[in-house]
Amino acid sequence: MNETPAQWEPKILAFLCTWCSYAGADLAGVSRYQYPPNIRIVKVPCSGRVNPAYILKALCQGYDGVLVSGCHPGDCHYLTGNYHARRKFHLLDRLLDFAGIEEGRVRFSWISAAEGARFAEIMKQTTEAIAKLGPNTQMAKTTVRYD
Amino acid sequence: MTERADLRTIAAKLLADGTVDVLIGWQPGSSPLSAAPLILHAGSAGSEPGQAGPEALVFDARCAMNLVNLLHKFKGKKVAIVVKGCDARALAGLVQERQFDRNDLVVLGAPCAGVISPRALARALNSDSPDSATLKNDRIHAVCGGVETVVPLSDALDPGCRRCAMRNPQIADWLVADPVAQTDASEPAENVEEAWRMTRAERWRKFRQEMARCILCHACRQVCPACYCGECFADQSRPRLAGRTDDPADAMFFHLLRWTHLAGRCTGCGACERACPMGVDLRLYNDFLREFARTEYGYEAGADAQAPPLIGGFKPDDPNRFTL
Repeated sequence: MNETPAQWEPKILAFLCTWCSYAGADLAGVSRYQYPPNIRIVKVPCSGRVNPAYILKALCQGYDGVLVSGCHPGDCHYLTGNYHARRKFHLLDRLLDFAGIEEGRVRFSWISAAEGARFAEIMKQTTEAIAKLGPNTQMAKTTVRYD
Repeated sequence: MTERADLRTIAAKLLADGTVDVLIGWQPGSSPLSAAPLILHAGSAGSEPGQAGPEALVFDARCAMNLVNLLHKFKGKKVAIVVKGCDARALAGLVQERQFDRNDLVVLGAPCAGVISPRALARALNSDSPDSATLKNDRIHAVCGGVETVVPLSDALDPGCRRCAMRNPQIADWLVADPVAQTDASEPAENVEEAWRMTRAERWRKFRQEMARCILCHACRQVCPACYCGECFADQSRPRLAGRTDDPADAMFFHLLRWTHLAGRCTGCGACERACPMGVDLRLYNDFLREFARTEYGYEAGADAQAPPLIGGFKPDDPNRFTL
């Protein structure tokens, strides 16, 4: 493990479904729940829209963690998008485990638009867990080119 | 309805009576104990001197290549294809994905007790370029540097063939060899079990080591019958998704993403591993994908052409325990 610089802060990419988790983030904001500012949010139309490629690419480009959050199973705006997503993510989760990628670098959750407090809580948990893991040295490219 | 037939006779008949436009099979390859694809077109096969006809077709342990990969070139035509058990599974997978109409295909099933892997052969003979080698009664008679050696065929077989659970093709219209005894492969893959017994850090070391070897030549993708996308993510350039540097992270990205595409689709034919010039242990990860499909979803790739695919299908009570 590389030495962690004292000022290092985890950089986390979050893919949030616009119908639920993104609205959950909004609710957390208007409700003035505090949570760590380490996440960068990408709004997606559905968790089913998240290609595993995006998650892997984020790790390659040096993100320390990736979170994908969608509607609770059964609550999808498009009826079945998150069911499809769940199989894909289950596979990716097991595959990353099998490859030996550190546990918790890539996380999946279901947060509804009414769960502002849960959103803040999961952001806090995720940030703490990834801070504990330290910088992403496994998959981050040493020379990143954004082309 | 599967009937026993002689490979060359049935091939000649199918081409002559217009049942098929094209026939895909194997012929002896140019190097010892290798086979190459033979593509015969109705009306022209064997019509000119020196041009191979159905009499050039062979099937034995040399015929390692998965010919189903070539099928994509003949979409919309009536095609007869010679398949081993694993190839037949790959073919069933393509029918399941609506790439081919089963009615356009005549499947010549070749029961197979294992195929030669070039790497295992080189190890068995202690030479990667024998002067000559022939196969007689499950023994390989080879001449390496003027010295004759005889090794059992089993030493040169692809390691994956040892625990093959699909020796006899399941969707054949004709069988071109006698059925072979089926080994019991109901127990989980040993290599996958062994990897799960390791710690995560050890699995990472193994993965890192394999990925550091990959030169991103994409040979695994080229030979894979399940890799038929018009444009592969690895070739996509606007925006460029997959990096192509020698940083192992680029190999990791390519393989991890390719595996997410292969889950529930890879039948374990081993074509990728035999094609890999760097000897990357692709089998381990492909076996993992099949174990995942089997244990988590009771799904077997290519076993049922009517079933919804593993990724793409869903059930409301699918496993949820990996979420926060």
